[in-house]
Amino acid sequence: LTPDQLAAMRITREIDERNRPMTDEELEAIFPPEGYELVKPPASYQPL
Amino acid sequence: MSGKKVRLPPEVNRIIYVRNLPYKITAEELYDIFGKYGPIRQIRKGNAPDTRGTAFVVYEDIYDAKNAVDHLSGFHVAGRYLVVLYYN
Repeated sequence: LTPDQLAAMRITREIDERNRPMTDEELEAIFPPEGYELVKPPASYQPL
Repeated sequence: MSGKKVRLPPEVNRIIYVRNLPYKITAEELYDIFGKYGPIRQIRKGNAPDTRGTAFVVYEDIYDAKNAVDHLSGFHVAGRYLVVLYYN
């Protein structure tokens, strides 16, 4: 493994950790308990 | 949006906090403005006197969130300039 491959691997591992899917409970815990409402996606919304 | 192998500063994360939104902004408008940058996991809109005009937008991918923040800061919506920050 060359040094830059090693570095790329480390970045990937770190990004994957920060990008791992969050459960609803984790999301729930992050936000302030009141004052906010969930916005229902419009029927026309297709994720890219 | 393919994930680029570039290092991301620590404050970058998938949840962005938006201020200065028009009070009567609709779900369609929110998803239209923020959906351009990537799939959205969830949007929460402020509905209390002290949270009105603000929202949280959660992206599925951290690079999309970064892309949104980079492009949307100062975006002009209905006479207001959006303030877009990472929420942590």
